[in-house]
Amino acid sequence: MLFNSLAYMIFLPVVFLLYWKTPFKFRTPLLLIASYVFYMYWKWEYGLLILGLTALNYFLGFWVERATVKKKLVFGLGIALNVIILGFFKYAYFVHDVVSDAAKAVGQPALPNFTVEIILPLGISFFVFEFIHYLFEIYRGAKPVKSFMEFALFPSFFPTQIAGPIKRYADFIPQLHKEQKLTQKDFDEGVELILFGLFKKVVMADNFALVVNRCFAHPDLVTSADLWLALYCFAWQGYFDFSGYTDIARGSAQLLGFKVPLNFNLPYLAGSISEIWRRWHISLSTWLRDYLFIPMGGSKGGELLTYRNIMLTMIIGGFWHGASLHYGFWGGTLGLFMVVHRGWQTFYKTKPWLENIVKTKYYHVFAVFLTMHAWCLSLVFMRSPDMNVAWTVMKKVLFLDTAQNALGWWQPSILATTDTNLLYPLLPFILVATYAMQLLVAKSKEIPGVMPNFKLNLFGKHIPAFKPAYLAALLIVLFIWSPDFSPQFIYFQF
Amino acid sequence: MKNAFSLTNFLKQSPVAQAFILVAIINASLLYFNPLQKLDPQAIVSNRTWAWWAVKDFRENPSDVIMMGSSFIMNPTWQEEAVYRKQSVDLVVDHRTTYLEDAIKSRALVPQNLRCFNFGLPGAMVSDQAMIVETMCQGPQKPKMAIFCVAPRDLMDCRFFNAGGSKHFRYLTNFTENKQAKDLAFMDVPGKFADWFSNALFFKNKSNEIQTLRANALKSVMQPYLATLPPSPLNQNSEEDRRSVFKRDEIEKGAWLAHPNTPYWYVNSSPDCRMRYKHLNSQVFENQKIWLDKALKTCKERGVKAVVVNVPSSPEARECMFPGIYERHVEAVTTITKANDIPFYNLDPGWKHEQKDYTDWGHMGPQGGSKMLNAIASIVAGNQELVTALNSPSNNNSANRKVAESEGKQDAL
Repeated sequence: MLFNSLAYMIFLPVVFLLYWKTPFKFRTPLLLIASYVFYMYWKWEYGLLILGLTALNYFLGFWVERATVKKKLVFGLGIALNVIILGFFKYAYFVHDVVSDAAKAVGQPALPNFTVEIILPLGISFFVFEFIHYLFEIYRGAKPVKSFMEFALFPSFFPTQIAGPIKRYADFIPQLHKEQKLTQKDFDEGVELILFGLFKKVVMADNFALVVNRCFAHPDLVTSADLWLALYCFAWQGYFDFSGYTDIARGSAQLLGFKVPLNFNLPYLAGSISEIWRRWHISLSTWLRDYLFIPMGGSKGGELLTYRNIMLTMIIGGFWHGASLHYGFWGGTLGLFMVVHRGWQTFYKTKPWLENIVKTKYYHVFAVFLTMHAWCLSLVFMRSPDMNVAWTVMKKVLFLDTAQNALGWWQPSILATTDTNLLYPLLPFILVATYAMQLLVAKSKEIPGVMPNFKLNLFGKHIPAFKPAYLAALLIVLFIWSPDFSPQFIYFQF
Repeated sequence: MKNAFSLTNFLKQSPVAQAFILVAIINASLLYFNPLQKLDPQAIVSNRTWAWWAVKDFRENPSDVIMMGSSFIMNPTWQEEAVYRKQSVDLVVDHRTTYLEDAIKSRALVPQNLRCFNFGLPGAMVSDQAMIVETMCQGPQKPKMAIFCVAPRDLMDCRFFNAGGSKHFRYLTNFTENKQAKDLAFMDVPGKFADWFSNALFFKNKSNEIQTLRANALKSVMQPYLATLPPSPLNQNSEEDRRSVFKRDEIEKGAWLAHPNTPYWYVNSSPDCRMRYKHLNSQVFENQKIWLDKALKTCKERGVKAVVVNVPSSPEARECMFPGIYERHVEAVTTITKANDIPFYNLDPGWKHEQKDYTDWGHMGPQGGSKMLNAIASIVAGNQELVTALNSPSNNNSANRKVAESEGKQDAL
């Protein structure tokens, strides 16, 4: 079921009402049933897959805990099983193609095609990562979850089921034990987060996508300036799409009295790629840190080993996003930027005068600017459908392609596109306004996604007029702008 | 410490509740006063779907014959047209089928300026065909003949739920106030609810009009700035640029070009076929039967000669079908056409099926298209009533074309 569908707009209020009307002891089974309905609405067969994986990991958890002699082997087996299942669904075609191409390159016949179609189950990357986290924690000494029902709800909890945030069971399970009361604050914030998330997706992301799709469909036609505009748009599309999804997930969970991790924290105000990665898809970046980077040795084995670990973590993180070379390149590019930044940090710390400059706010502004552009450059690999397109775009955005069209490289020619709306000519203003909004939000003390409740001082009374007007405007804009068929969330494919 | 939820306090204190009440008041006022004038659906630029383009072409180029159906008709007719004309044909803007025109002219004595229009739309059901008849077969562009091409899926596709859920149908409803048609549009509860929801919300119901008016207003304000911009390369009509880049239902010129020398081959897509013919889908079938009956009656009332043709179902399609679908289909179409005294031709008996005629389980390529169009031309030529209809001077098409051309120019402005 899609968050931006009418089905979900009916499903959520029904679950909400049933949940709060149900006695506490029946709430977990109710949520479990609702979560499976949510999942099986798409393809009922895959409900069995998630159930099977859940049962497997439930028993593996106990096995890992109880193993004394061969604990590491049992743990390794558990991790391997999860990785193999994820690998089969997500990477079978990729591996097949790579092996086939390699065979053809050395004059051998290509591998025969698969006789059955492998459909990637929605959200498998997310719930497999939650299982791996669970096994790691048990291996490190945590206690396994005794109740199968509670354990089954952990990966399947519908607000976070398809595209995260990736939860930690030690945060989630205790929330099932604490009887919650519905408060007005939870209700208001939950609904506001859902509305704001939908706004981000439907109004912002889906419209930025129009520019991105058209420019990447024809990178040969457009100028370097156009492609930079497209990259800015893609940066914002990705942010609004996924943070919008997360807001809806957070809002839905909050309506049921649950807190799920904050996944985004104004990433484009970051001063380095490492920082951006700490602010972007936080639940994934912390997962990669805790269950990949640190187990590989983290930064304890000297600089060279640290660089290796960073690169490996980021490349694997890239491939997690998709089974294709360009995703690996995306991760690798980010890793490379992180390594360069780490080297730069080591360097300037040896020069006190340089360190003083780095501490100034002018340097910070420059660093934010540079980081944003480095991030955009890495996105060339993420957005391009294949490596050929990626190179075409990369050459243009780095001004290495002199054979541009009749216009100069600096001319943003797409602004004159006579399309069905005025997105194109207004693009520079929209991009500037979007960035300015981030700066404003950064000044706010409120929870990300929740607007401050300004009060109007009228006849000596403080009237909270702003918030209802803001929410009403949000609703109206959503009704007007929401297309009948909004494209699905980008992160669903991961 | 969290406060317990209380409904009384909730309405007084919750900004969310207040916002919803505010929206409800604004919505009720707008529904009551309805300040937006009705726009010509063709002016709603945010709606450039298949149906939008086909209607635009049809209004600008009134035709004597319209041939309706799903992509089973649309694709082979268009692909064969490119082969026949020996040039690329852009289906988005060019729906004329000169192949059918010449095939009819070579078999019967009909006017030399006969024009045939390919009104096939992807995924179209019989209800969409009925809506085309309801909205297009009147006024200056009324055709002399309507050919209803139906395959079993057009009346019962298991991936289809409500006539009103079709994007073609939704667009075409903008041209009519026919309440009966709207009442038939939704059968199931989610469909009825979605329809009610959409109609009850002014902002949802009028979203296209609001977006169009807003865009027009902004455009006029920004004209001085827009005039300074260099020409955009993205305005070029290139094929691959257009296909996947718009919102899902929108298409643009150049997105669907058929080329004369494109090789076509058969792709096995039987899972899709099985999905569509998974079960009898009686609810949809019964509803579509009513639409067929209604469409034929409308043709008779308006003096448009109708003919129903059952397009061939490939052996692969017949294998995929749930038992009884095909027989039920033929029987129902026979009964309805007989009751309305409309000729019905089933192309299946005696049809020589060859896999090279098809590109998948249901769609023919240009070669299959040629066979099918020849069969349809023979049907028309062999039926004296149809030939007489084509020879009737009633619609004064040349005058109509001039009117439509001037309308088209106004649209373009």
